[in-house]
Amino acid sequence: MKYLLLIANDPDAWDPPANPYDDGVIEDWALYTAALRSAGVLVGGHALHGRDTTTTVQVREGKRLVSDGAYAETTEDLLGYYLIDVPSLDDALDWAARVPNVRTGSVEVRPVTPGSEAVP
Amino acid sequence: MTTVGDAARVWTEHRAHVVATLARRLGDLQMAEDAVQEAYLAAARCWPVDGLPDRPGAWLTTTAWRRALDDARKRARLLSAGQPALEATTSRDRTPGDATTDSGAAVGLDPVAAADDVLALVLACCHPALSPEAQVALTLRHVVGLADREVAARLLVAAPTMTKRLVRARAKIKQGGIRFEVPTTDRLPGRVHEVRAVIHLIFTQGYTDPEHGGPLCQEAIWLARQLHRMLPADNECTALLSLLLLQHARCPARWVAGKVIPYDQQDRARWSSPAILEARRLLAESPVPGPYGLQAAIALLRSDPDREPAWPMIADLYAALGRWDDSPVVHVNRAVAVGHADGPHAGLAVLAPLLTDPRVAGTPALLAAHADLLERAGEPEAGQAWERAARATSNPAERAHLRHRALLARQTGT
Repeated sequence: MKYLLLIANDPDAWDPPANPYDDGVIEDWALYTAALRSAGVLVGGHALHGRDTTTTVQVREGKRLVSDGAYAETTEDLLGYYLIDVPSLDDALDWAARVPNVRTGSVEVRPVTPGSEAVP
Repeated sequence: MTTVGDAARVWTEHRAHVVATLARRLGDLQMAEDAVQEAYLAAARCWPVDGLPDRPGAWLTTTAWRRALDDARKRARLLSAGQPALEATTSRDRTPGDATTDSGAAVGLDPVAAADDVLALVLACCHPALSPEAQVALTLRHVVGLADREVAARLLVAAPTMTKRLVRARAKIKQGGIRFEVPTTDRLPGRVHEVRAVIHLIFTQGYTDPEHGGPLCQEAIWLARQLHRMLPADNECTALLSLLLLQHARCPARWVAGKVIPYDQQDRARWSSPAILEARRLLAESPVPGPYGLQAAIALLRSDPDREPAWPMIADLYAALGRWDDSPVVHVNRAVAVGHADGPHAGLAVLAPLLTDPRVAGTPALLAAHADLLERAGEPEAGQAWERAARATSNPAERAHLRHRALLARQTGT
């Protein structure tokens, strides 16, 4: 089963690291990705540019509305995602618990609807 | 002569096993329940005519499995990707075409597999990814076997709300990938810990409603008993069962003529001695106390109808429990025990820092303990303190009791 791991920084953390990728050491992310890969569960993933680079688009009553920033003030600070393929939720939760920033941030685990893949 | 009543009784004995086995095979709890329901109807028709089968569990499992396959074939979309293979041919999943006799090789007839399946069902219903409300609802519906509306009535929730909650919870299990399987040994303790918490939550819901909560308490005890049977080496599961037995043993004395009777004033002849004896025997077999072990030991010390509880020992046990579970409720209970062991002023000293602890300040348990200690210390503010405690609770039986204590305190001038 495929799961999306949405990795968020915690904006209320006591000491949010100046560079979120420095929670621990940046190599932790490379090691984690390598672990997913060698376990054969990695389907995909990307890091995202900071939330200040976000643009929100809506179309209402025929008008395109473009605004700076996320849709809601309270939206999480997403760092990136992984897409993994594992046998069960418990396996996905185990991988989520190893994400390098999980001690200060949080990881949302969402099951992917089977058969809905959009492939290039 | 086998009656429909006999069929119903035998079905009740085997229900959880059959649901569990089907759920594991199908990966779908609702489909399992539908199939099991049809098997029950078949049993109610056939058994009074043909007599009870030699192995009713096997008969029910086989019949339910056939129905499930029939239903599945009617639903073309079940063959799309993502569904656990109905065509699976592992050694446990042969098609029911093989199973026309009661031989051990036929589908669903391996009793060891069936026992494992019930544990897998319980673990799935209590998975930590589910909310506590969902865990409680699923366990009552699918492990205990209550109908939707019965679960709703037990939990004081409207029936349509409960049905929706159950549907969502089952969807989370299915779409989220919660498996009906007993996890590997390193994951198992954490998962069983969650099951104990759910069972304790169910019991507490029943216990806090002394007038109507009897059935929930009994269902929690049944669940604790099944868990203990499935995991006999797990001391905390043994301790949980003992704890619930001891607490429930006092129920006949706790609710009399529409009123809550506090521990000190209970007619101990009404305590259920078989329950206390069973708990004592269970605890004697499991010497290593974890948190439930400590709570059960405390309950055991309070369960002797002929003796006052050994308060100093109870105070020490609460101190030990506090090292496992730092929740302020434990410290409140320790203050009460110290109040009995070393006098109300000693108890008030232990309680003082908790009065401003944000986790517990203003809760009925804390305020009631405070009021009781004040009263026994002869302090004049006791009456007001009882009133504060009464205002803090939303439980009508508890509020009536606390108001009554306030009245008594004012009458005696404290």
